[in-house]
Amino acid sequence: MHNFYYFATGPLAWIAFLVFIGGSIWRFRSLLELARRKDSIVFEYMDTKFALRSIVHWLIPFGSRSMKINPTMTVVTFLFHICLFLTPLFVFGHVILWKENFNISWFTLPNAVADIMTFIVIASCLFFLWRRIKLADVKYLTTPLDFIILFIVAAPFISGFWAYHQFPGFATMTIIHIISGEIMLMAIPFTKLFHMFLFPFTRGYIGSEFGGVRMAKDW
Amino acid sequence: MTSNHSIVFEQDEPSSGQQDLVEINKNVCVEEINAILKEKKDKIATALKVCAHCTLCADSCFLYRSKEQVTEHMPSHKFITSLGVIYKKKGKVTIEELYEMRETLWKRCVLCTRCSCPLGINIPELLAIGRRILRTQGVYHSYSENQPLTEMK
Repeated sequence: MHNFYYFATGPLAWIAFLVFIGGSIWRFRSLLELARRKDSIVFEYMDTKFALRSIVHWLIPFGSRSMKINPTMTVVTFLFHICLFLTPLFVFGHVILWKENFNISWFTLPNAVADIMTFIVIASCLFFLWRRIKLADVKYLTTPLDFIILFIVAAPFISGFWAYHQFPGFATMTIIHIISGEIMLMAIPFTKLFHMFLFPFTRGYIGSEFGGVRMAKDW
Repeated sequence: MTSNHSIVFEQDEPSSGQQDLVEINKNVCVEEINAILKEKKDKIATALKVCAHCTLCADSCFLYRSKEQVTEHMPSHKFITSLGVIYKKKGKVTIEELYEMRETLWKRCVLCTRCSCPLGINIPELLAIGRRILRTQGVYHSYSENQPLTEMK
């Protein structure tokens, strides 16, 4: 068990970060290269002002018509993404690891706040799962991979919550937490999770088209 | 590479009573399809990678809203089941599939370009690419032929 823990926190952690960073760079480079060679009009379309205008509007809760007509989804999606990003970065246990290993540290979340944010992520994942199973439109588009991705995202939060509160079997759950987090990192460049990096570009592209060509709002 | 099919398709919706002027091409030329797929791979691959299957684009389609919210009218569904399928199959689609896609790409979308994706996928552009591919195989509707209206029979 100890050997496995050291493997998960040592070599596997390095591999996960390398795959995440290297895979993301490779994915970006290959897409940009492809666009440059075959579809260079994309770059001519891009307009910083209109791109930023679109990105900002879609990053403000209820900033678009789509968000206004889907209020529940809007609230859940925003809370989910905010908590999904901030909790792993600022939870005390993770910052301590950075301090111990690299002697760098930053602001940490109070444990109670981190608990609430973790709960929000788990509850949001359950909400998304419910949508995929129950809502006809969503069910129609859902593939088995969508369920796997949902599980990949939820697993580190469920296991982290379990391990932190030292529920039965928390030692094993700690290892599961580490491995599931590493799986999520490694999955980002190769799955739909990559939308976290592509969003500014897809949004910016269509924002540029709406602003510069159609002279219309895209929110 | 071509694939032959002998299936006979109805050229029009039975209720319309109009003759479709397009001659059915029973051979699918994979090379022609792949030439377009290669040209637009950046956009198609990105869209497929980005689409979270959230269905939030549905309400931005007036056909979806006006046709009792039929699932087939969701913009994301239209893209995934037409161009998405052609891309994933690397152009190796049958003529039957192309004729099914014709209904999606022409009858369920008027290319009004008003649909919106929260993640910024340019769905109308992808559906237009889908139409372009189908046209190379002679699969389209007479009203969408590239000729002046006065010359249409």
